[in-house]
Amino acid sequence: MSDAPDPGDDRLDRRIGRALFAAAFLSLLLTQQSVGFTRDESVYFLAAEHYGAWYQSLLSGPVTATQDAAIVARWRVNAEHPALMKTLFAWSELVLHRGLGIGSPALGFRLPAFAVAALIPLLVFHLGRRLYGRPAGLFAAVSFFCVPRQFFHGHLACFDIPVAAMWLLTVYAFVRAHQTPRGWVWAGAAWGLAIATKHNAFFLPLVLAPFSLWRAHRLTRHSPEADRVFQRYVAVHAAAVGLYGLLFIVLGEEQFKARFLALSPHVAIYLAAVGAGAWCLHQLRRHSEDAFRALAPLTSMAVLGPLLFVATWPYLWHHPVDRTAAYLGYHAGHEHYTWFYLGRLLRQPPFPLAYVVVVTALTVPVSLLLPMVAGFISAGARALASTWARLRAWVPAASWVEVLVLVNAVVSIAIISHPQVPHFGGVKHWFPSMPFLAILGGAAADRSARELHARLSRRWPKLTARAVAAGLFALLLSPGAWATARIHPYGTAYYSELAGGLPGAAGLGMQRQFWSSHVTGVLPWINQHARPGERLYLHEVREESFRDYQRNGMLRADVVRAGGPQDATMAAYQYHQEFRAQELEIWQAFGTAHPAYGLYVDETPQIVVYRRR
Amino acid sequence: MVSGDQLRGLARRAEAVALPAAAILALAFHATLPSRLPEEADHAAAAAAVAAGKQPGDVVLLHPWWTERARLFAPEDVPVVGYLGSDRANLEQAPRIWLLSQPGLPHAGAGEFRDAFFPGRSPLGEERRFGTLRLSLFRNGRFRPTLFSAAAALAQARAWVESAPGVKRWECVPDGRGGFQCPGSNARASVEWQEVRFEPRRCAHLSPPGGPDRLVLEFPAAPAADRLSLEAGLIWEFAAYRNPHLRPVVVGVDDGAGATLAQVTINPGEEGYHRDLRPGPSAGPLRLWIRAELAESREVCADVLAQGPEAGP
Repeated sequence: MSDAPDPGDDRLDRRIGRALFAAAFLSLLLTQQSVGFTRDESVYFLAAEHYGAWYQSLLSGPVTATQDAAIVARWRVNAEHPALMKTLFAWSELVLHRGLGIGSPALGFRLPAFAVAALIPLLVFHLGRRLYGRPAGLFAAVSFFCVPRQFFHGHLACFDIPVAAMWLLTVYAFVRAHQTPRGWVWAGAAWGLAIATKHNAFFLPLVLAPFSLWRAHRLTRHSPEADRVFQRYVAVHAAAVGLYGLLFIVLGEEQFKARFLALSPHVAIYLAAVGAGAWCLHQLRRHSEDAFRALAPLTSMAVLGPLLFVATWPYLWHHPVDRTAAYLGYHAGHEHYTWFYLGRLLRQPPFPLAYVVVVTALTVPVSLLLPMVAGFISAGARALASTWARLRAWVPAASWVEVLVLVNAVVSIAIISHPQVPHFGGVKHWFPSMPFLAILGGAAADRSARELHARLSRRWPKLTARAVAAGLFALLLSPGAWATARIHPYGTAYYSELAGGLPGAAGLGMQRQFWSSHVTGVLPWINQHARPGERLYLHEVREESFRDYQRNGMLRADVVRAGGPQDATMAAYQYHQEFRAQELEIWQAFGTAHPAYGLYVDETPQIVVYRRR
Repeated sequence: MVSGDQLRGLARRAEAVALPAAAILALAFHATLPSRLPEEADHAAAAAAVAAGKQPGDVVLLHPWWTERARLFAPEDVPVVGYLGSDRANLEQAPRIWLLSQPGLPHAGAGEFRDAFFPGRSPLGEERRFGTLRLSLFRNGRFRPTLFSAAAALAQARAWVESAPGVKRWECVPDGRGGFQCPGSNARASVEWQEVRFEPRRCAHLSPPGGPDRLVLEFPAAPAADRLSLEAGLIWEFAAYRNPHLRPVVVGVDDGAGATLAQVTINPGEEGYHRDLRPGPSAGPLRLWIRAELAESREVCADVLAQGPEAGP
């Protein structure tokens, strides 16, 4: 990884990065209108409305608005997720839609999601080109949104693509912190934004800390003074962890939480550890700037992380500990949603260990999956060579950044692969791995382009390396781009060529869609055929989504929402294997098994519409 | 001994061949997929052919099972059968089967389908093609005429809850929709569409009263038949659960004198239909009953069929 790139190159790379950001943002913006509202997205719309109302009340009466009761009244809505993204959704909708009258409410909410999503190609490019060169970075960046499911999720005012972006941002800032004098501040801030986006990011310090400690150990081992300070730094944090453990054992879980007050041993331990850690860092910088840079991001994360997490989430302001505990407790005990996998309905753990790997293999276009696998194997071999000297006869050792990318490519996949972790939501829960896999794929694609050029230029000497790379990259990216365009806006239904596309996946017994957004495929028919005041049951579509379809002009305003088939005269059933009984309830209530209309993607039933006899 | 350089060179060459090859194959897949899918007009033409040749009792069977778009077009009086596992369905109530097939779809599993479907079936005429759709009519050798169905005859039954065989606790009353409610108990019976392990079926939905009590439905005059078939399966997702507090549910058929003719026991975690086949019965009353020590989540979709002889190949 180059520490001092050529300034001219650097300017060009910045331009490329900005162009990638703009292209991603515009492609999401221009294709968003047809993307339906998933069940979670409408909840976040609603939460954003409440948060927006609170910010308006903050402007008109800050003293009243900051009372806990006033905060809770607005912020208890969707308190199971932190507030950063929902706050951005709220501000965007307030300013753009309500203030300036631009676009629909949904567009107002979604714009920040597009911007955050568009950071991914930018950051992938910069991290990729620093590690493997510009062509690799460019391929990796473009490839990210050539995965149809990732492109689909990039449209949603949700947290799955944003947390992938924030995770990547944190890792990128962490890497840069080792190379720049003040990068450690940004690393801490980036992690603060990440945990303020989604709980996945709480795992990040566990990924990054070993790299910091290993780097610091390597950098201080030849300097007794620096090594002593480093050991003190480690001892301080180990002591803090030990004291917290002791408090937890002595007090028990409930008392441990209850006594976590402003003036408490808990806070004292935290402040002492952070203070002592900062002092150690100050001392360390005198002996080794590099070792300081290796460790400072950790302390920065320990300080700025909680600060940003709490600052962006007013719900925590009066009761930071118990409400954070409740938030984390919710996710620790998350219920399981049924999922269809290889002809089986997965209802309860233990889930198959290979689930995440199999689903990834079947949902990433094969011409992008193969470079990822090749890049992963290659980087994995080099990572092994870093620790096993005999292997270096065959493969060169990996840099620590390459190992970091490799580890981050695996971590989210490994976490979700645990058989007790809820398996639902398609692929979105391990999105934080995907940018790193894209970078490894970029390395493989670039390597292949070089190899091809070496071979082809013997026969056609005028053939440039750039032309070969452009041709190969276009070839590798085009199946994904084609599939993305073809499946849009039904991205959760996408399956790769390896699966045989969506029909092949149906044959294999795979989940075809999730969480109701495909209902947009039948709304035009319903608008055309519904009688005035027709009672419509949109199966699995939340009440909030029904309202959102109407207020965004996608569903006629006179159509009345029915809570079930019993009080409906028209019903749109979402085809899920686990919901077949609910389709039969419609047959039962409507007196017919004959559909009136349907959305069939590549012949697979997605939404089936019935009318009462 | 292969050197490091040689090994890396080999890997690079393999990578440089495999990556573009994969992309070319992927492009070929996307280019050819639309040609493997039927047009709307193909479905309409196939449905018109079924409508022109249909006879009472016919069904349309889909292959692959999930190609349900055909339901949009099929004649309303011809049931369309397509569910995970329908390849193996005997379709005993259908003398003839229209097989609507799309064997060119990825992972269509044509070989497995043939193995499951063809035994006992013989083609009636030539296969017809409508775009990528294949339509063939088959005589169903597994057909057995249904002489009596408890689900179909539920409205003519009497129902009660009894604490022991012959000891009535409560009479059940008609619910006005062809079924029964049992005041004083959670037991009930009705005819509904229900799903048991993906298979939709119109059956008797039975809720057991719980404890030692059993819900009994008496059908006064079932005909003599070649075979008695009792089928029952737990409905909803509870069928899959093996939680320790769940208990087995027992469904049985007695004759008018109280002798058990057929019985199935469904344990927690056992999905799908359980079937007990017996020769006979002779003409007379039949009693369908259900019992579960703990009634929670133990609702059953059941039917008792008195069937004639199998049509044969």
